[in-house]
Amino acid sequence: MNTQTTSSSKRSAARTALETAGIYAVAATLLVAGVLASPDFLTAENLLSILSGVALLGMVACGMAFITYSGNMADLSLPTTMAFSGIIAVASLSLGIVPALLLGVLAGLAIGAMNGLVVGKLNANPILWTLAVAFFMEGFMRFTWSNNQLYPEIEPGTPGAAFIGIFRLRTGPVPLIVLVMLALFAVAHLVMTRTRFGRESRLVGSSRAAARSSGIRVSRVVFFNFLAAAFAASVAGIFLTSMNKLGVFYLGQGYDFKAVTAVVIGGVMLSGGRGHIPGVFGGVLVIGLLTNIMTFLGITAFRQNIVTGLVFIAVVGFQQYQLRARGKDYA
Amino acid sequence: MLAALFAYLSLFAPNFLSLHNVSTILKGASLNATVALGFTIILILGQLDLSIGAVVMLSGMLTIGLQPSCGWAGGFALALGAGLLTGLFNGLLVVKARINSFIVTLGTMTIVMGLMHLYSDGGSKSIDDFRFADWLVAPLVLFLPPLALIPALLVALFSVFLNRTRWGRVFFLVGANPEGAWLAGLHRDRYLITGFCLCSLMAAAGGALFAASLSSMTAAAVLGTRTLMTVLAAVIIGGTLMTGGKGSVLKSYFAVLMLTTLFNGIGCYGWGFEVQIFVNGLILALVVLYEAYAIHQHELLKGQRPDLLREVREGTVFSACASPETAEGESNMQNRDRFPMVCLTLTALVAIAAITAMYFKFASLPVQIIAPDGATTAYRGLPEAAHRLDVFALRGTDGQPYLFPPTDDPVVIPERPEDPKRLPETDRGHWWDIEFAGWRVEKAPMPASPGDGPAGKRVILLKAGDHPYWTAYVRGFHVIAEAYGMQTKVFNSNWNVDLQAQQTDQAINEHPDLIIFAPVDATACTPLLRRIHSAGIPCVTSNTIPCDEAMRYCLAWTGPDDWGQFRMLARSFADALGKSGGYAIVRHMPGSSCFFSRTYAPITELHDYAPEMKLLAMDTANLEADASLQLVSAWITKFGDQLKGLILADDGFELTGTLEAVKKAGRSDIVIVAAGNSKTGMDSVAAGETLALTCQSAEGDGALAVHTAARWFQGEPIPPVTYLPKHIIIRENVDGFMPAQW
Repeated sequence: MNTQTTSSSKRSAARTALETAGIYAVAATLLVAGVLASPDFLTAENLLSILSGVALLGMVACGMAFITYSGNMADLSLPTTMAFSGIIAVASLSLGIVPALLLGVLAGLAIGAMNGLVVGKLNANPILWTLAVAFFMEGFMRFTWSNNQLYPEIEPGTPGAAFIGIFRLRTGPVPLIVLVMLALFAVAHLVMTRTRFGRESRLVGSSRAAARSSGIRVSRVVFFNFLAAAFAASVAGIFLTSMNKLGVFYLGQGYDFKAVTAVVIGGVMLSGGRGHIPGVFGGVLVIGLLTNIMTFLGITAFRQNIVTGLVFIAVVGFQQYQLRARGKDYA
Repeated sequence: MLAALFAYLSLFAPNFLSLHNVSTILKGASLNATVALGFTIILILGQLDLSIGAVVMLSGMLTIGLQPSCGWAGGFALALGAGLLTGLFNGLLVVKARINSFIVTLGTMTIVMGLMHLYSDGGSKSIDDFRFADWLVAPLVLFLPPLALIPALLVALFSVFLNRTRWGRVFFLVGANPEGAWLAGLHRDRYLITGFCLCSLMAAAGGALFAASLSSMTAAAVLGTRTLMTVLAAVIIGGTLMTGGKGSVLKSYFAVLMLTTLFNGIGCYGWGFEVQIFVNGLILALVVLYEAYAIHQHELLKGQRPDLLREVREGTVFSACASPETAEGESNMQNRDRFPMVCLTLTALVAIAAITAMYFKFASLPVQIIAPDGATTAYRGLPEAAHRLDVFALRGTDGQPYLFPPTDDPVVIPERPEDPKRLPETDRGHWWDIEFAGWRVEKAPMPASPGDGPAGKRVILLKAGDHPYWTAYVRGFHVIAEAYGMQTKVFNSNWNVDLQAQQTDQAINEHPDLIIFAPVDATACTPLLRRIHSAGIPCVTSNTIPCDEAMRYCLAWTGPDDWGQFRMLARSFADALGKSGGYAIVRHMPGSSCFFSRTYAPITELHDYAPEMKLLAMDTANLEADASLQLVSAWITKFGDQLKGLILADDGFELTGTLEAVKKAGRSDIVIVAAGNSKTGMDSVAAGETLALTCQSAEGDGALAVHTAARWFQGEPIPPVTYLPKHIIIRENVDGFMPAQW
């Protein structure tokens, strides 16, 4: 029994390595291309700046992966979740920095919990429901803060200054946001592979009906998936707000589709139940490297859009082709 | 059911008092209605197309860009062709490469948007021939203009095609039951590809029609994203299922109409965009919840004994053609069928109530003055005394006067070059038409000033969008309007040209004494200003300077001299750098006028003033802090010590991200200048991180527009262009501009 488990977990680790190899091959190719593009590319500073450039996207993608993995495609309310947790944190700074941060995360979790309940319990269509939430949360934030930006105090020693400093903290040369992103990915990976919740998510993502028939409480699993996504998004949102030194309703716009791109490019199937967290990390890396190299080559934003879109479709197309070639169903 | 809806429409039509409003709504809905038509088809097939917004923009851009060389027919054909190609690309990838349509179209969305920006170079396109645009919006049949008729005709056509022909009905089968369709010997793939082509084609048609009706097209991506989101919401509210197999183009059309009517009503109340999007979200949530609830109930009942017994009692089990489950399913379907209708009806009712209320409200509205804080309170309720108030003595939140008395210095306008566009982009002459728009324009005949002063006049402000700058703008606008005893109302188009076009019609229908128009787009506003002009309403444009053609139809323009300010800024920048070294520019958002002014004013100025300086790179970071951080970090690594200075088009998020990148690289020697002046920017000037900012008073901007309007009401002559005063904010004088307006 014991040996069986080890061998199966070994096999699953091997499978993970194999299935995520593709995206890392792309990343490696990009690294080589980067070196060819500029001698300054392969420096510790540049690599660190690429990592910190995609750190926030990485956090959101890490959360989005839970949604996609469990068969709920995408959570379009993550940008508003980011903005909301940031605004709430800034608004409650008078209570001190720690309560403010906690309240900020709680505010994000509240949105996640609502989404999780509605999608999990009532089986609402996740994309449409979260789109509706994004709409009315945007309206709510615009209304409550009358379309204004919320500035924290910046005098040294105040909670406001501490809040602004969060984004700028670093251990040695490594920024805190990079560490937080890596930690989130590590925890997510462990949760996905080593816990009951992770395995249940996989089954729910593969087939909701089968999961229900085998006695899994699907609504609870979906609930926690949305909660996980909202948690990651609110952490990223607080960092984003701290970076921008102000809270406002339109922070985080565009992170929804960017995160889905990273998740899908990393090999998580949109139909759910297939993919790995290390793959998502690879996807985030590829996006960061691609942007950096194109800027190095002097390719402007308009052309970058086109290249990114083409790479995205090509990578995903290739993954699908591989899966089919190996006799697995298409997703 | 449809009859009921028609009854509703005809029921609330009389409440509009004029058929103008109905046609306003029908015209306003034309873009979304056409796009929704194709989108419904793709949802019926059980697929998704996120690229419709981008296709709308590309096809609009192509139509306008190609019209001068290929004519309208050619422009339309090529734009539709581009749409068809996108659809084919989507369809082939979905069918042959078997990639999920969500992913494929997410990819094409970025690609098509990139192509559109590449084609337009990030700027708007326009033409000066308005005959076709005029034909599109003029009544053709009864009170209905072609712009309203074409989408309706298309909807009717597709409705018949989908419901009455064999091929049309197959779409439903393919969407509901792909295996079934395959077993029935149908080519599922062909229908899917056709569906994608139709969807993109309709999006392209919508975009082309929209662009033609404005004779111009904006490059601001917000039009595309808002169209996608609104259409998605409308189609779902119209009862189309995302899982495929169910939907109706007719209901989608009415859902779009209802949403437009609702927004119209909300706008009439003077409520902002926040209420619109909130209500939109609530309705969508309601529909989604109900769908979910219906399925939930169905799941609960499935296989339950009492339910079976009930069915046995009712005899459904024994009915000849239906098994219990399908009977159950059908009744459920009917339930769900009815619900969107209820939603539509509710939405319609709210809209009717809003619009009716608006008419009564406006008919009996007394002169109402919004209470400001401070100096002007004493004049409340005394409009006849108000205009004697010294408006130049009023001071804004930053301690600066709202308005400065006109100076005697004549504005020197250089000679226009022979053919500006043939000069290189680094030559200031190349940009003459944009920089000095409005100065040499021969105005169309303008309405005569009443000459009885501003007191009690009704002024409508059509503002471009929501931004803290605009909050401050409206503050300045209100204070001065009240000082003159004017009555005001504000519409907010949220950076969306489509919405601004609707709101223009709406504002005209209210017959104000004057309209203050802050264009979302410098060229797309031309037909809107023409509409205002032909309605005989005087108009002052503000903030973004419209193109020459548009300036013909307004009394005057007031706002910041963006080009002049950036020329000053560039000179301080060059002086600080000793007129040598490499620099880079972080540009504004593509589609905005600042995208050009804040890039090419410094480039051309430095070309003459400091020819030794070298432009290393320029790119947009879409005004995002993290994108700016990435961009500037990469530049610092790439150019190293060559990079001596940075010019930023924004002192908000762009500056924050740039400062972060500079700090991280330990390059505090890099000289930074930016467009001002927000709190973030001035804090950083005070801290010595940023060398200089331009000063653009948001309150002053709003104040100047309404002040100019007041002067016109008094019968004073007003210059065609009035600039806000120009300042450069540096560390020594920054205290005078604090606290920041936004």
